[in-house]
Amino acid sequence: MFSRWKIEDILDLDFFIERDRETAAREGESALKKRDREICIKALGDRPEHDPRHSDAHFLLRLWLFAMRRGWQETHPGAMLPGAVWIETFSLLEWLAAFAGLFSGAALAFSLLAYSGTRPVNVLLLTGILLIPQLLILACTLAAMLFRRSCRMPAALSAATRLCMRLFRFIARRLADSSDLANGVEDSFDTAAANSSYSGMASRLAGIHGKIIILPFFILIQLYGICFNIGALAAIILKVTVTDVAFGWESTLRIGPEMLYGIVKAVAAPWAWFMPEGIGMPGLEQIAGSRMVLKEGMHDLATANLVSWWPFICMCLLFYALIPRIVLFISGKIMLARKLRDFDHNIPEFRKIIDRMTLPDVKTAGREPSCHPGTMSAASPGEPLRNKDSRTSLSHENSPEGEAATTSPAEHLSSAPLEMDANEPARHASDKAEATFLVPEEIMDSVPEEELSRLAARLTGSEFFKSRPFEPGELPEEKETGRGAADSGIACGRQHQGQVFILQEAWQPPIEEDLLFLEKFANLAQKTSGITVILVGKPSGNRFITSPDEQQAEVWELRLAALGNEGIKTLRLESFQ
Amino acid sequence: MKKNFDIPEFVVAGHPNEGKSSVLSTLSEDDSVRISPVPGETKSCRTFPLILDNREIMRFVDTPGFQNPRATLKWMREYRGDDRMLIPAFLEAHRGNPRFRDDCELLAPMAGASGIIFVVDGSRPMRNVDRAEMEILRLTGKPRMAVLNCKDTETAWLSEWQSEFRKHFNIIRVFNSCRATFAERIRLLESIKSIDQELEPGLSAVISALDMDWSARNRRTAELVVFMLTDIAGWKAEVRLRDGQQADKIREKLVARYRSFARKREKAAFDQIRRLFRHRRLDLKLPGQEAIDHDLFSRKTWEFLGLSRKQLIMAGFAGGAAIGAGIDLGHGGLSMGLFGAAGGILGAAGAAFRAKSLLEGRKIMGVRLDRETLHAGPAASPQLLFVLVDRAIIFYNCVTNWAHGRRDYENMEEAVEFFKKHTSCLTSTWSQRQRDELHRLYRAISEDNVEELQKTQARLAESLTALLENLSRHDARPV
Ligand SMILES: Nc1nc2c(ncn2[C@@H]2O[C@H](COP(=O)(O)OP(=O)(O)OP(=O)(O)O)[C@@H](O)[C@H]2O)c(=O)[nH]1
Ligand SMILES: [Mg+2]
Repeated sequence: MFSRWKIEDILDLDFFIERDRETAAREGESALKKRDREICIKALGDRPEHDPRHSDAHFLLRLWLFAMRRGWQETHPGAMLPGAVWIETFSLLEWLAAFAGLFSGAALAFSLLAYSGTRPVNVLLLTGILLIPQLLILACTLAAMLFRRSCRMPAALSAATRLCMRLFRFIARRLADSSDLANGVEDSFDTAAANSSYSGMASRLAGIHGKIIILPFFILIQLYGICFNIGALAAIILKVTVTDVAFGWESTLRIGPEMLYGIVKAVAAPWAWFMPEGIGMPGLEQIAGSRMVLKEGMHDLATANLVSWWPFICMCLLFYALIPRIVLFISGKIMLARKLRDFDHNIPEFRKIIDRMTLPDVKTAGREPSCHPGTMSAASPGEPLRNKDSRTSLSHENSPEGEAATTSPAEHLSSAPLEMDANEPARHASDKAEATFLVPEEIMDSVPEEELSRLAARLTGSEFFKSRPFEPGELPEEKETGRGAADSGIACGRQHQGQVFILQEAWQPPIEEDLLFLEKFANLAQKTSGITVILVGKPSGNRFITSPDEQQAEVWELRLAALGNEGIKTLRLESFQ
Repeated sequence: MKKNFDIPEFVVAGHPNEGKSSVLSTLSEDDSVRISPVPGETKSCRTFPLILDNREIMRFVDTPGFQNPRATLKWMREYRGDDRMLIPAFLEAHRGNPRFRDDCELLAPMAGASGIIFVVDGSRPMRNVDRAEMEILRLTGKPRMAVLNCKDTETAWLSEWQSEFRKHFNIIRVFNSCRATFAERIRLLESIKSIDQELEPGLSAVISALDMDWSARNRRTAELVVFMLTDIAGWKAEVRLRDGQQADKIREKLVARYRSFARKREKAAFDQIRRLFRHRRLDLKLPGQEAIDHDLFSRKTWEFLGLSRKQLIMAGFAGGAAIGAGIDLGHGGLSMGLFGAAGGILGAAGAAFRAKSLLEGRKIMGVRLDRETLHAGPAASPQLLFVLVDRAIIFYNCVTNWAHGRRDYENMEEAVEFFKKHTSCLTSTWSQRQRDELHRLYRAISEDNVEELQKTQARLAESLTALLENLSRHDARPV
């Protein structure tokens, strides 16, 4: 594991994040989650949170990057990652810059030093051309650096940073996997919209990384500058060593040797302490002696004066061009190192990766239905209801009585006593056939007498009724031999001649046991008029007999109807209220 | 992975239609569970494993409801064999009996279970069947927990249930499968921990994982919201104006385009948030999207050969090189071989200052070289951000409060209305400091200041995260 981030790492990170975005759009975030969590567990063990490195974001990010690279190499053997492209491209650029610098520096110096022996090389022209543009540019660079520091650059100005990132993405895409990135994600709006935020993020990423990426180019330029000056220096020294070059100066203006001496002395100040006059710079007489006056020709000029200039030129290049470039070069390197050291991982993209690695992968969703052995053989009791697609029949609420009657036999039956009730109450009253209410034993005590008598009056026209408790679970044949049989509702159902009503709380789901009981009971009572199941709702306040919930009543009606027993009728209490 | 029988299994049992499946659906954030108002929806067991990093910690089993509790109890009372063989014997005796199909299905997993969770609707009276069922569970000899899932607000029978439960169950919990919040889900799991000591380490790990996961979701939501804000408020478009085109009409068109973008972008963010909270079926739409129909800044610019007036001046200054190469001045790009550049400075600058008057309407072979462009965006006022944030918070509140077991999707609008009125952390209650964060984001967006934007985004996301945490973990539950 390395200790520092490098440019190529950042490029690769960016590349993988970009790819993940596409993977997520295609396969969903959970695929990424699984992969990244595995990376973490593989490196830190089954309980990664116990490892101190678990909270080290830099470590985790590196870990991720390394794993991603490894994965990449496995799936794309031979393909290059942007980081590798960068390394190669950049070292090529470095060589190019160095050669171009050396070559152009040397070429410029050689051309300026062209000395035919008739006229000395013009020192002012030589230094001017070699130095002044460089100094100007240097000043610009410094000014720009200061400007940058003091006020933030608006985003539009750092277009170059984005350009660099885009360029590398482009190259990486071309080189890496034209195949699996190109077969695109379908362009649904979802992804498009997500991408629009991502594009924002991508450019932001570029903004962050771009600031780092731009520095190598700065360094590259300094390298060029260094080599340019080295080339120029080397050319001068070579030329001076192997040929006899004469340096002189001239001016149309009235610049005297004294004035030039003053300028030269000031310029040479930085190296005067170790290269005194005569070595590091020409003295006054030498300057005076190397002045070229057009009409006088060259013959009067002394050789010693003519050659005294070259060390000065070299020192000028060294101190005013080469050394500043070297300083900039080094400071560029330092800036880069610092930027890389302070590399910010606290951006949403990286946090997402780290989250995926550090957060446990917890799943709670249910598995597709599994069977416990040995119980699946029998048919289910609720089947008849289900076959009719209960939900659709339940969904049309509040179906009017008449309409429902045509579809549901239970409803049909249940309307019978209603009609009788409405049209011929007198007949029932004269029959003196008392209604019998079978009430589940457990609620017998809570049902007030007068509620039952009111109910009887409405159902049969007579207030007289009998009420008997019963225990639903207990089936007739089981109870038949029991002691209390004669007294129980079962017996009642068998013997009674009048109508038998069974109170059923509709909010209780119809379970197999209850249905079976009702069926058997209805069979017993068949010889009379069968049974009517009265569906009541939840007790509310001091009233016990209330109207049932629409849906729950319908469930009961359907289930009872599904029994197909002629002797069972159902009655929703709501019809009366 | 461990072998099946090593994994603690909790069987959720009860009367039909009491909300067993709903409770598990909510507890496991799984909205694919079949739930229906018709009793007998669940026909076969379904397991809900808690999986932590591919390790199954424990699992719940959803079962059908009791169909023959009295008969089952009767059989069990009459059983005279080894107590531990009670369930296998029952299964053996009733195998193939269609009447007892559901009862066998639900009792089968109990044989190896670590515990049983009895779900009951506490808003109804207790009946003998319920007593019979509790007795059956007691006879299994397993640790038991009762969950009161009140389907409606009726509380008259609650105390009766609770006092009866105390006789039969080790632990009693109220858990409403339609309204349970994250905190309540965690509390339910916490109480399962105390049923069986051996469960504690694994379940603690799951709970802390769920907790971290929740926080991460909140953070992600905050980020999604901040990105949405940035995208909507920062929307920009340019349209080149041709001769004779009316800027006003085009402006209108752009505003319309912007508004449709804003709506779609908001919806996309909401969808992402919804999926983050594992809602696949909930199609929650926040009404009143017109509230985000805001206006845009717009201005006209003039360019010649693709260069703005400012750029023309710059171009003159830099001799055209720096801009062509796209390299910043600030990075010394100019030092590259531009020895002769200085010469052009003065002349070009002079021309560029008067560029528009000189160059307007110039054509080469009939092609106009200059052009006017209408720029629209970003949003014209920071108010938009406030509206968007409020809507996002309301949406978040709806999504996190809509339990996965809740299926009355037809009542969604009502719920949304409720949260519109009763969400507590809306921007109107924000402190000055919090509002400033939104204003700062707006400024960064409109000034296109990348660095500042990043900073404000991060800060806003952080405070939104805190807000959502507070909202989802502490806010009072709605009625
Ligand atoms: N209002 C309300 N309804 C609930 C609640 N819990 C469950 N329900 C409803 O009750 C009905 C039955 O819920 P399920 O979860 O299917 O019940 P179950 O116990 O699994 O039923 P079976 O599988 O048939 O045994 C559904 O219509 C649910 O929507 C609740 O807390 N409040
Ligand atoms: Mg169910």
